[in-house]
Amino acid sequence: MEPARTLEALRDETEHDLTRAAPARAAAAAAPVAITDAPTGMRESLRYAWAERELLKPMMARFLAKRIRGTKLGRLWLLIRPFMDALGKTLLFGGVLKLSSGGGTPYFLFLLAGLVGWRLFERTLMYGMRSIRLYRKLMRSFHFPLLFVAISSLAYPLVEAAVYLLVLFGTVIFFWATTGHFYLSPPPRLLLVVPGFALLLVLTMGATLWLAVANAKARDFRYGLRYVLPIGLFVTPILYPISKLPHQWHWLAVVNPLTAPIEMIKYGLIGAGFIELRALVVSFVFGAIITVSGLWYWTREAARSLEYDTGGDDDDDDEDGF
Amino acid sequence: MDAGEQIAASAPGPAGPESESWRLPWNELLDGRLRRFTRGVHYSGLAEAVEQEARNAATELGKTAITFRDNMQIFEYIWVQFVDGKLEEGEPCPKCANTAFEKLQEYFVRCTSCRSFFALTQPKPVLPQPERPPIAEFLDLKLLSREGDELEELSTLEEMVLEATCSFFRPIRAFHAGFIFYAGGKKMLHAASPDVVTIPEPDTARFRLHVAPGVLTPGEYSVSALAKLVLDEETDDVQKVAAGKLARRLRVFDPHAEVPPEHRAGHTTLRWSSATAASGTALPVIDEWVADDDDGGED
Repeated sequence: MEPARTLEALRDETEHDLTRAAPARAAAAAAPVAITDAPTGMRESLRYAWAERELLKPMMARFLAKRIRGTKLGRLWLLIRPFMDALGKTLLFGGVLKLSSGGGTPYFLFLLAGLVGWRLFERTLMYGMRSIRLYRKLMRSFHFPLLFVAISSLAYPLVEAAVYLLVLFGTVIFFWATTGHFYLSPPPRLLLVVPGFALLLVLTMGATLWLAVANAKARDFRYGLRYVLPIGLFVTPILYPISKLPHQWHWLAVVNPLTAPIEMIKYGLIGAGFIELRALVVSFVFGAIITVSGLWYWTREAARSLEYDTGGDDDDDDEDGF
Repeated sequence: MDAGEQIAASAPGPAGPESESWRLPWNELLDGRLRRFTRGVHYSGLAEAVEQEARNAATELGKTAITFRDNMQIFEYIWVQFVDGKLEEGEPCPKCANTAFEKLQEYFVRCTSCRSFFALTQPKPVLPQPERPPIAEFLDLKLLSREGDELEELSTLEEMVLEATCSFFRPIRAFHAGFIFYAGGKKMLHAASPDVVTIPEPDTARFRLHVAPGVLTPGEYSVSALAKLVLDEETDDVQKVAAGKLARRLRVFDPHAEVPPEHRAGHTTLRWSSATAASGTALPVIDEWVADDDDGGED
């Protein structure tokens, strides 16, 4: 590692540079100045992001800090919200609407396993879509990999997903202690959770890259997504097992790219999912297309989208990003 | 460990989160990368002080610091990035005079020749100045010898008279004249008149200052006139009239080291003549600005 230069050495270098430049500056005064776009292809963007990867952690921390800004309970909300969400949905769908897991798995556990993936997708999309607006000041003030703006929107959803998992593990232990039944899958099957999350993250980030730029240009996307996402919750097998889906609607589950990763997570965690090859292919193909095209679109348009002023909610912090 | 944490680890001797200021090693952070500092981890005390410290360090090292304070209530961050300078759109590279740049981001460019990294700024818009009816204007500024000849140089043994002629386009409630001597671009002497006069009607007035031998030290001077005025009783605004374009050069030389006492006899150091109207009558003196403080008035 290069040793730190002293202030004097740096000052000398600067003075030397300025002295050397003086005659040339006069000659160039009349020459036209040309500013060309630096190479900003996907590879350059990824390379730059990798070189500056240390910055990702503070940027994600900033996103988390923004979520708990202005609260008295602070970090506790990171725990409370997922727990209350799962509890509320269990009471509504399991208690009132009498939905069941389809097997012997308790509905609360079944719902938690599905919500881990769904909430990761839903939250990332909502926060990510507003990421350019939330980071507008930083984007205008500093030069850094803009890709981190979109990626950092994963911060809060990842914490939530971790909390859902903790609650799920706690519930498994509770049932183990009270009924003697251990619902968590054995280790080889449990490993399916990893590719399940990976596939889900690819799909989520691809969609986020598209929507973040689009929303920076027109807020209609944010308003539209507010109504589209709840539909997504119902058409994806989260609240109900895929086996309960009427036969004529089964194709919906197959073409839904979220089905495969969420079923992988559910099956990996508690053995309550069904992984269909066709759905898996759809997820892979759709994930690859949306991520590559999203990265292309982001690289091309993210900086330009700063020019759009579609209403000042820079750095605002309204509930859930809705 | 993030970038900021690395800095904290290498920062020389920070006391603790309660200490007033942690010395951040700015000279290690000049690589153009964005860094974030957290209150209580990397600094304590006033965030403004840290930002100012960064800007000072940047100036000292020939760089420019861009800072941004992020107040999250529970957390407070300062984001800092050092760039090689600010570049106004259309300017060549201040380091190597190259005229080709790569645009890295919306507001950042890099010189294609020396790879210096600049924050791009828009040229300052030239705002049209609201037109004001002229109030007064210095018509002439003369440096005169004791005999009344115009001069450009004098010895420290000679007396000199400064004479400014000012034209007034309307009555002025209070007018306070002064002469300023600049040397090496700095204001060396501001001799304001002890009298504030009223200009009862549009007129041309003359103001004279007698400079005794030995007052000015040898050197090259630029001499100008500056006046402050208040238009009427309804307005308290103090306006300024300067004789910038009429400024005269003056060289003062010292034939001897000391001014012989006989040359000083009979003269106060600086002496003003009464201000007179074009007709030759003295302008009425009023009791204002007697204890006027010099605000270092720019001209």
